[in-house]
Amino acid sequence: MKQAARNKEYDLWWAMSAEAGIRSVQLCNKAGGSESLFLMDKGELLDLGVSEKGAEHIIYRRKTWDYEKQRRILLEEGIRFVPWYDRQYPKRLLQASGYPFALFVKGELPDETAPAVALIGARECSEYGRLCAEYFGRELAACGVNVISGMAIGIDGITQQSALAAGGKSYAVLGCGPDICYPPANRNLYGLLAGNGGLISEYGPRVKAVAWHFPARNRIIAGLSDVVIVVEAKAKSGTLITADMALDAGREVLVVPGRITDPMSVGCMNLWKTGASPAMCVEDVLDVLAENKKMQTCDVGKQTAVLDEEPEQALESEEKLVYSCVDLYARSTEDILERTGLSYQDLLRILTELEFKGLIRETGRGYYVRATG
Amino acid sequence: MVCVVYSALLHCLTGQIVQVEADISDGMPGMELVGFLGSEVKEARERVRMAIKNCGFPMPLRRITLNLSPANIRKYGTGFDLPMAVAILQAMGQIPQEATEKAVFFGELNLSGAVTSINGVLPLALCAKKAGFQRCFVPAANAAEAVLAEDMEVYPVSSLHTLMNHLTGTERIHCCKQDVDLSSKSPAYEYDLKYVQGQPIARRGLEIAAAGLHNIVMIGEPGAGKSMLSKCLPSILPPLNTEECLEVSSIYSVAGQLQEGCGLMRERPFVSPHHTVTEVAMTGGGIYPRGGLIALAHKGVLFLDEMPEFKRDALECLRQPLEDREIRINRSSGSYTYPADFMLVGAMNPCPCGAYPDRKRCNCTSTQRRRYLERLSKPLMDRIDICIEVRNVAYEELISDKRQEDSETVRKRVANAQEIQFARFKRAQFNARMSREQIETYCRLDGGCEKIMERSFETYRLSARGYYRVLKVARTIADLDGEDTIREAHLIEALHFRYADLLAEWKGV
Repeated sequence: MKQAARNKEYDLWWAMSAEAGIRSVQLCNKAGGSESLFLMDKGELLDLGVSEKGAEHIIYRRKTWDYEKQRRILLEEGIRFVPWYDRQYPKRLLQASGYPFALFVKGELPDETAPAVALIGARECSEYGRLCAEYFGRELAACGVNVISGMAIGIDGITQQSALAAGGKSYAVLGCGPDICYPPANRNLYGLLAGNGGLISEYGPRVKAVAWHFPARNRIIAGLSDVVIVVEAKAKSGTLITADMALDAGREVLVVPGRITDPMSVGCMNLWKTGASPAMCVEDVLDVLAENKKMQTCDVGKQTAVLDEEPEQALESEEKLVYSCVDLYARSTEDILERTGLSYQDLLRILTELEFKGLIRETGRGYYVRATG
Repeated sequence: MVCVVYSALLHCLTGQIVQVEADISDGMPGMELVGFLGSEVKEARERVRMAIKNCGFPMPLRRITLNLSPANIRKYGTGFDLPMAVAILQAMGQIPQEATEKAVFFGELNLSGAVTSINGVLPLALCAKKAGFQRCFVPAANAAEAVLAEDMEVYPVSSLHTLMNHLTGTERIHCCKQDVDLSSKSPAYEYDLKYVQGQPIARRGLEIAAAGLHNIVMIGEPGAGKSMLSKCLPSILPPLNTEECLEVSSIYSVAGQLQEGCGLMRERPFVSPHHTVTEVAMTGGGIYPRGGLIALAHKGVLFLDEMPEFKRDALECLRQPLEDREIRINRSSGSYTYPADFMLVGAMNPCPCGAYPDRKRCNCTSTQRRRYLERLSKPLMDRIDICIEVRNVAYEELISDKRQEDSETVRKRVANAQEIQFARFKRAQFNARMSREQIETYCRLDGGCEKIMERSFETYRLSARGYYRVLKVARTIADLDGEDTIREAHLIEALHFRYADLLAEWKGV
């Protein structure tokens, strides 16, 4: 009993000092446990294969280590410490290479029995990307799928927001301690996720978001999910790292097709070309999940449409005309004026009416897009 | 015997009559100046002495004492040279007593006796007129300004010598006549709207802004024509009326920026500072603060090109004058107030590269865009009535021969709207300056309009200030149409021109 407790103390130290190198589990095993790591001097650490800088860091963290303080912080913040050998540690993650030594969790961990899908994409998304992220987030959550993402601006946040709005559960893997909300703009979402899902990180509390944390946390996003969907990605995008990691971990990668001329979709289309399957509707995703025996084929009930065409029926002819001119890509008032041939005053009246009806919205000064959800 | 000659001193735009007393008595030869004098006034001793000597009047080998009264106000500026010289000459017995009665003197002297121009002659002359003076001796270069103070005999003085001839009755200086007609034809404009191709919506927004003197912001790509459009603004602004004309000319007179010989600002001022401008240059400064750019833009346009590039301080100092229509500067020597009823015109890009929302060309991240837009504070942008988007013009449009409406046509419509406004408020006031009370009286909405307002409150999340702003703009649009009541079309157009919070998308997901 005492042994186990002591172990946990050293493990917590190791989880917080190793700062989530992908080799932290390996090193710990090689050294024969975190306790012996704690007792090693610099030479021994170097012999183990730790870099000079890494060894210095470990020694520094050892000198400043205060177990009681860290335990108190975990308690105060409501963060659980889940090392890799813990029963609660996600099984899916253990199958992935380079799984983290331990997870820090605020809220809960994804249910092992429920299917999990990661939706990832660019921070700088287009309106089309926003629409697709909302669609997949909403529909997958409605089918009982856990939605996993990174709570970033753009696709990540939008997906998780709409999954939660549909009454589902969503889990965010962070690049900072789970007690920190990064990016701060998503504070609202952060609060919701803590209640209806979880905030997961391999970094302990009080660890700030650093650029190199993010590619590392992507492997956890891939590891926690059965299927990874890339919604939107430019030719060079961090999202593609996650896709690579997902393929390495043996996960199915789906891409949302875009237009071949759209720079925001080049990354997706390249993935498609190299073997990823397209995800054109939620059924595509469910099929893949069923194939992998992750879930029974789920009858969605009605055919779900990405873009709701229904409102168009209820519009007057002029409104229909204007609505048909407004696209998912921002279009300026003058453009619409030219296309519809309406008078300026009529157009303004109709645009206002459509805005009131929630069918379109102004995205930049004088630019309109179809509103989605 | 003490001889008294009158001059005046400016405090911002209001004058104060100053009595220049001279006495010559026995004692050590020399000249003593008293009366709380600034250093440029103290230096006048040498200028005055040499000027008198070079006019052919040997300085007496006696003690000369000059006092500028009231002695508790600090005197500054070079305008006291001439009255000092006249006072001394009178004390020397060279000028008869009655020659300087009911007269004020302004002017700087050269050693040779030539009289050179000074700043602020117009407000000085107005002050003298108010104080009951009938004759005004000013530097010849400033005569055109002084004649604007009607019913004053204005004598242009080119040198101390000619002035002496006049005062002694040898050779009279011809009195200046007011030859400028205040309601004269409009001046020629450098930029004209007929050279602006396309941009129908931006032109319309500019017209509305000009008609009601609404603050306006133009958003668009580099090279789209924001600066061009705003340079056309003076050509469509309603003309200054007489009262405004005098006020603006006074400010320019004090700043020494009146064009020589014209004496009058007939166009609304267009002030366009570079974005490196400092806060002090904006507000005005110095120990005895001079009007800054804000004051110079009074009754006209303050154009800020590349608005987010301005220093935060330089922008934030606009908040108070935008609200109070005057700028207050406090110094240890007292509080100085300049009128600052200007129209703010801003131009900016939608993002650092300027191409947003065209994602094919714009690579700015949302953080970059947010940082760029965040340089403009919410309280400042809350005071913007109209926001227009200026798009890049297509090639076909650029080379087309289609005749664009010229500024004169637009100006006529704007002038009509101005007349309606002046008639409504029974004074020179524009819709943008309406008080809450006036808005409630003149911007009544009928049932249909109220419904639109109600729905837009929800959809656009209008603030209370935003609500009144939309009403004011709608009033101007109705005035342009010559209509008494605000119709739905007016309101909808005003709603489309409102300044939407560009940062909204970062507030919550």
